[in-house]
Amino acid sequence: MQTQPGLVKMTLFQAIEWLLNQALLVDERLISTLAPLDEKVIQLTLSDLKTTAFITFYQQESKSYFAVQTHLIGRPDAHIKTPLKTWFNLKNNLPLPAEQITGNADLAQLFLTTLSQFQWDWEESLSELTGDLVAHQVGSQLRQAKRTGQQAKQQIQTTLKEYLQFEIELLPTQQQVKHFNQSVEQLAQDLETLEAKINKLALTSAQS
Amino acid sequence: MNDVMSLGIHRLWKKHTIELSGIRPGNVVLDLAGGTGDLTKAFAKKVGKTGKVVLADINESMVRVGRDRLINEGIIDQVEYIITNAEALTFPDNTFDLITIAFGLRNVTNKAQALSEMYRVLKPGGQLMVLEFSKVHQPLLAKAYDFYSFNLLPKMGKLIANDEASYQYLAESIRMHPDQETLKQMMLDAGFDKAQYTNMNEGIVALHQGWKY
Repeated sequence: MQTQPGLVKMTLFQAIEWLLNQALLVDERLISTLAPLDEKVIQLTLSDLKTTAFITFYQQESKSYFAVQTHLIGRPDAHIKTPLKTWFNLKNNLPLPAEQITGNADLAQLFLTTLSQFQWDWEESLSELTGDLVAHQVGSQLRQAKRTGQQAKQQIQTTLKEYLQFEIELLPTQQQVKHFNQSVEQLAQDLETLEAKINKLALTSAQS
Repeated sequence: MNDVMSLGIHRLWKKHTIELSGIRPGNVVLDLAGGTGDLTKAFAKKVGKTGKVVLADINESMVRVGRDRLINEGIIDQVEYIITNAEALTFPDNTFDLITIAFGLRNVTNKAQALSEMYRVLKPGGQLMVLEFSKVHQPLLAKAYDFYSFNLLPKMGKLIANDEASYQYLAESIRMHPDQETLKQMMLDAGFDKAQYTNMNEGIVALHQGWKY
């Protein structure tokens, strides 16, 4: 039974469609790169969000565009399954990773590679709505917020680690673990030596 | 006027219909009672160079308005226009992957005949989508909806479109239209192998889907 797509899902997919089409506007060379994908359907399953989108690229004389939808008649040409979060931690220009690809693997790889090359200048797109000054200020604030967030995350990690190791001694330090491992190795060697001595004694008493 | 009457929600109803259709490049679509071409426009963007959308209506002036609008928006090659009666469709059997009829079935005199015709021209594996006003079952909402339909709507029609009678007819025709279960059964009786419906806004509108296998 088909279910009515929720408003949130539809809005999310509309946003994805808009982003993809904005990238085409910014870099028209992508259109020729994407030519093999013309009128082919890629199913993109975001495993961490448990959501699926069907993405179709249309190359036409007057205008090329992407369409993103929630349902599809028939089967897609390729199916890419991946968690979205892995895409946010990538360095620039590396091909986007995928957990699993089925169907036409060449089309799927072309889609992922091209997607990784998208250089979307969102400030430029925003400036068309709000003007350059506001777009730049919004951009600066967001970049500052991102830096602050990263610093806060690092600070929290360090504080938590120190608390667990030194305050409540719930976790050992690296040195303590190393010392423990060395003690275990020494004990194992001592046991082997003892075993060898016992075996020798047993042999000697059996012979006499 | 549709935006005023439905507070813009009619666009969402149509959007849901388009999303659920699953249309892809190469598909052939019939938009029956297509009127001003809202659904045709959306489908034309999805069927691509290898697909086709036929905008059909019994009313020639509606087809002309729809055609002019779509041409103005640069949608030319993917769409054909035809004047036809839903009770006697002028297409061969097994022609379409998808047939849609949005807010049009209510005005068809012989609905059973029209549904049989839609079944005939649908390809095996194809889908019919009927978007139409339906019955509100929630009692409190039903009362409010009745008041709105019979008292406010005709007044709004008179004020905005200078046509009270048409909006009076609208309210009455909605009440005469089969309810959700009845229409679903009519689709099955017409030959559809599977039929289901989805209520929108508590049944003010229902989307019926029927499949031919």
